[in-house]
Amino acid sequence: MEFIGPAIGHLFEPLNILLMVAGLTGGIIVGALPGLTATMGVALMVPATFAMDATSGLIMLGAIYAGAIYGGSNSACLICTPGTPSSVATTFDGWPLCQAGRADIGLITSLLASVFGGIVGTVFLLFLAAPLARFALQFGGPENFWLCIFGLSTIAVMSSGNMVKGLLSGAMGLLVSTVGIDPNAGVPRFTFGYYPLVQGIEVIPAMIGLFSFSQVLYLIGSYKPFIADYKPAPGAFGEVVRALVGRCKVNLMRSSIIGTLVGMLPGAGGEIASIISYNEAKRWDKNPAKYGKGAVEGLAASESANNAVIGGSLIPMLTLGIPGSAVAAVILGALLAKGIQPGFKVFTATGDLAYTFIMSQFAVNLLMIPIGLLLARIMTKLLSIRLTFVAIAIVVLSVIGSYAIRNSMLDVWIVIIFGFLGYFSGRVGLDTGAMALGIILGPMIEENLGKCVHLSKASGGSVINVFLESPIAILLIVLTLLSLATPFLLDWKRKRRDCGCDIAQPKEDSTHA
Amino acid sequence: MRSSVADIASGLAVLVMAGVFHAQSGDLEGVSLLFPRMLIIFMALGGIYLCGLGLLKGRKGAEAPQDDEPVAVNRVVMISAGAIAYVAIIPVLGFYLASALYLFGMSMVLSDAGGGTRKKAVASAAFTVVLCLFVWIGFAMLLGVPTPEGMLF
Repeated sequence: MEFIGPAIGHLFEPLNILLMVAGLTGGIIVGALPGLTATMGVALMVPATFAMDATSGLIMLGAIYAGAIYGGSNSACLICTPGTPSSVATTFDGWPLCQAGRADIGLITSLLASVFGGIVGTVFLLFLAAPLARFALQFGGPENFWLCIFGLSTIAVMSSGNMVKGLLSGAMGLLVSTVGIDPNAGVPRFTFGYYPLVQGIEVIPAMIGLFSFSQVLYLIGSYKPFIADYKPAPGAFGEVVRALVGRCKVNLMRSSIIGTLVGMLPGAGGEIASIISYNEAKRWDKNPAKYGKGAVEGLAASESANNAVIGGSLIPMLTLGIPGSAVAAVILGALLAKGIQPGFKVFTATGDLAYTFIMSQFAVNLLMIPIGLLLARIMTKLLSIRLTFVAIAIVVLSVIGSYAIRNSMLDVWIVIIFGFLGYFSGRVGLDTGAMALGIILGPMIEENLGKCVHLSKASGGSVINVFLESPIAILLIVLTLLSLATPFLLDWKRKRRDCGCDIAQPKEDSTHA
Repeated sequence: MRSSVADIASGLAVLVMAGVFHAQSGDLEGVSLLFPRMLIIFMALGGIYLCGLGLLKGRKGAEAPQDDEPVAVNRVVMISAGAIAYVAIIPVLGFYLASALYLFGMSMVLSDAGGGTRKKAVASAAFTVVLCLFVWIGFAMLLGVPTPEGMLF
């Protein structure tokens, strides 16, 4: 407690306020541009922090991180292009809302849900860092494998209309993710004689292709003059607040907790957290049919989870020196460069810095409301530009965004190829969301499957024993089975209800007669 | 598109992909092959199922065509061809010149705003200059993001 008072005092220093505002604004813009990730935004600004004291530098990096993760939802809602991979699930309901002329509802929901998730993640960071860090250490190969399989089971709920096509789309994504060096044996695979493919298919260009370039093809072929009709509705903010406080509060809390827990696990980030949360929101909802058609609940789940990941990923970074995400790794690097050694001592020896950083995350999330609203209002102007110009501009931005990741023209070609694949898939009813999920989760699934195989060989037992030896793994298996069974249970429930109506109908008729 | 045609097309696509990856997996063994092989087998079975389902639906012939939105195929083909040409010329002309040519050319060809050619050219040129400046200032100057260089520029 002795550090919290001075930490709050630091937040009111003019320089720190300025850095939070600048970091948030820059982060939101970086996050909204497809291809530019939170990691890139934070990494680009690390050298600038060398000229500042450690506290101010950390405050700015934290603001960029939070801004970029939220910023990804802007392009996800407005042009169906996730600005960051953690916004993939945001497109499922954000884009239908935009098409229905309710872009403001989508953007405000994303903003407020992000703020809520960010604050919950920070509360966990402030009060439960030590026990949660110990819990994160329980996750080994089998647990991570089942966590990814649990994430993948979302496909069953997501594509309940045509599960076979959904599962096959997911398998296509998983197979694509095997291109390049095998994560277990280090053997190059599926390079088709083209050496640069040894690097593998990078997730972000594949996402840009599947969601952004394919969307350009859809839009250009649609005869529409603008992306979507948009008339700002007065009272949209109040409407969203009422919806979030009323029917979404449990969903928001559940998604934020999922985001925090997933964020703590090294390797698992916002993309997995948002997809699992979306899945859970749909599974627990009394009316799951509305998901994918512009449901505020879907947006709230995805966005609160991916911003809660921030607090979660900082827990093992600050307490154990193990970053929970790529951005946390960059921030860890900045800490080390300042001569600060993460670990439990960071809360005592450099408590002033640690608590100022944590408290700044509260301030950043609160500041995100006015800044995010202002930027969202500017970004909706995009909808009043003629579609042709927007579509052509998206192609150019996709090229520079994808090239920036590895400075490789291969990534630019990946955008084009996956764009055509996404367009074709959409035409024949394959699911690009499931494909994206496969590409994202594939490397983690395979790596952890390999670890389990090696563990079973080392122990001389069966791989099944390795899969089932820990309570966390068993819990995740049960959750996966429940998730897979959900569409069937919902279908059964719907049929029973319909059947009940059919039986009730003649009675009503007889009454009228 | 009829759902039977969509099923057959998606089944064939899945089968082709599984076949291509299977053909490439000849030298692999052990843990490197385990995961891809599981996926290839699953996709092969799923692809056959979808093709069979599509053929069955087609044979019954009772299905109505799905209510798809009309597609401006010529515009899709033009922007696709333009994008391929654009990416292909970047290593020769460099990012900015290739982008300027692409932006101007595509907005001239695809513009549906009406008005004469001269008006279109002015709007396209303005759009090209604004976007190139935005990219140069935003990406190159402020963020220091590298852009692809060409042999000529």
